[in-house]
Amino acid sequence: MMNERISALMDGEADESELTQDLTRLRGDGGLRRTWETYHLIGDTLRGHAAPAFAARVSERLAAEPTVLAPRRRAPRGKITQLAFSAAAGAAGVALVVWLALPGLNPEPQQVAASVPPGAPAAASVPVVTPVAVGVENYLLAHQSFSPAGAMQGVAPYVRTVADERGGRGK
Amino acid sequence: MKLIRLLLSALPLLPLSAAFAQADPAAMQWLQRIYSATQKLSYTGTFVYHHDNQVETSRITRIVVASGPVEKLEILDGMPREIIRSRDQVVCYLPSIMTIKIDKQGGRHQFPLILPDQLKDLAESYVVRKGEVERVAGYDCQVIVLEPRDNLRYGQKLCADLATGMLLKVKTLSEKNDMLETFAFTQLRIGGHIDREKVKPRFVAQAKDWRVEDSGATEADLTQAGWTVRSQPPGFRKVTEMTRTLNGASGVGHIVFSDGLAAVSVFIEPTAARNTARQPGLSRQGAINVFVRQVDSHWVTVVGDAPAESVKLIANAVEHRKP
Repeated sequence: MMNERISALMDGEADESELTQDLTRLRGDGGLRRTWETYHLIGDTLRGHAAPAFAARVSERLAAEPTVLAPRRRAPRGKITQLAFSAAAGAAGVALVVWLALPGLNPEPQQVAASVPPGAPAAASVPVVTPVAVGVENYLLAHQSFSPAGAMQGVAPYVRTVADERGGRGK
Repeated sequence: MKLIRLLLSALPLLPLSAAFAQADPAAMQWLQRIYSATQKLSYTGTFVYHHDNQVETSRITRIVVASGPVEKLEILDGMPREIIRSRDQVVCYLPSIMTIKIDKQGGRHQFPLILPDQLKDLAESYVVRKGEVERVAGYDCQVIVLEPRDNLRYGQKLCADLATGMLLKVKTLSEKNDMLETFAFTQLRIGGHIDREKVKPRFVAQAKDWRVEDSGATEADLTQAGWTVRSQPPGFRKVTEMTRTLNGASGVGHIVFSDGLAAVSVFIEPTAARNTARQPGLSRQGAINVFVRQVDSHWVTVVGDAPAESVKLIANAVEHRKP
C-alpha cells in the first residue's frame, strides 16, 4: 500500500532499497504528493504545530482550488451547484484531515483518502464517506423540536441549527 | 497513541454484555427524572458541542418567569448567534446574515414536544441500564446507557446530576461505537438567583431591520395532498404532520417519526419553490443524517438523529398519488 510507504518515508523508516523508487513515484504522481501533504498536516496537528484556525485556512484554500479536489470528468452543472460542491469538498477535506488526526474515532483512513471528492459521479465506484451536510439549518431548526433525545437536553441541541453562516459549515 | 485507541474502542463495548437484558426499572426512573429536571430546573452554565472535527462552546441559561420557562443559548465561538426559547416558540438571532428565524408551535404544543408515554416506546428499541457514577463539570453524575436493539438507531450514554437529575453530558455513539457527537457541560450552576437579563436577546435593538423568517407551522393532513409514507423502520411511529414555511416557500409538508428517543423528519417541497442548489443523496453532521430525493417534481428531504439506513428507509418509503 503506497500510503503506508509514504507514512514510513515521513517517519524516516523507509526501506533504503526502495527509497529512490518511492521518491521518484512521489515526484511523478500528483495524488501521492497530496497524500504526502495531507500526512504532514496531520502530523503537524498531532504535534500541536497547527494553529487552531488551521481548519478554516485549509477549508478556504480547498474551496479556492476546486481543481485540486474535483473529479477529472464532471458533468456540466450550474454555477451555484459547483460552488456548493467545492464548499462541500472543502468541508469534507477538513473533516478528513482532522478525522485522520484523531485516533480511535474511525478505523480505515485509506478508504477516506480515496474518496475525497464527495458526491462526485466518479466517487460511486470507491468507498464513499458521507459529505458534510450544507445548507440544512432550516430543516434542522424545524426538526429539532421533535427529537425526544434533544428534549432531554433543553435548548442545548439547537446549537446544531445555527451554523456559522459567515464561514459556512466548516467554520 | 495505540493505547488511547485501544481504550477508546474498548470502552463502548462494555455495555454489549447487557444487550439482551430487559429495561432496568431504576434506569427508566432515571430517564423520567432527567425529563422532569429539564422542565423544572433553572440553571446557567457553559457547554461544549463536539462533532466531526469541531468543538463549539456555548453559554446556556434557563429560568422560569411568570409566563413560563425561558431559555437562552448563546454561541461563543465564531460569529455570535443566539437562540431564545420560550413556552411556545424558538427565535434564532443570526447577525451575520441579519436574519431572525422564528419557529412557533401552533396552538396547544409546548416545549418540550414529547409525552411521557414516549418513554415506554423507547424501551422497545433500546436496552436502558444504569452505569457507573462519574464526574462532569464538578458534579457527581449517574451514567445511563441507552443501547439500541438494532442498527437502525444510535446509542447514547447520558450522565445526569445525582442530586437534581440535570443532564450534564450526552454522548451519541454510532453502530460501530464511534463517538458521533458529545454535548457536555464544562461549568454549571443549578438553581439560585439568576438575573432575568441573562435570558434576554442582546440583538433586539439592532435587529429592527433584519429579515424575519417565520415557520408558520400548522397541523395538516398531508394525505389529502396525496403524500404518504408507506412504511417505517421498526420502532418508529408517526408523531405529527404539518405544513410550514421553509426556505421562503409556504405549504412545505413536514412529517415526524420517532422511536421514543430518535426522531426523523420528512420535508416535502415543490421542486420549483427552491432557489438554492439541491443535490440528491446523503449528507451528515454529527449524529444527524440527511437524505434528499426527488418524488413527482418535489424534493423530499429527510433529516434525523438516526443512522443513514433509517433515514434512507423512510425517505424511500415516501409516496405520492395524485389526490
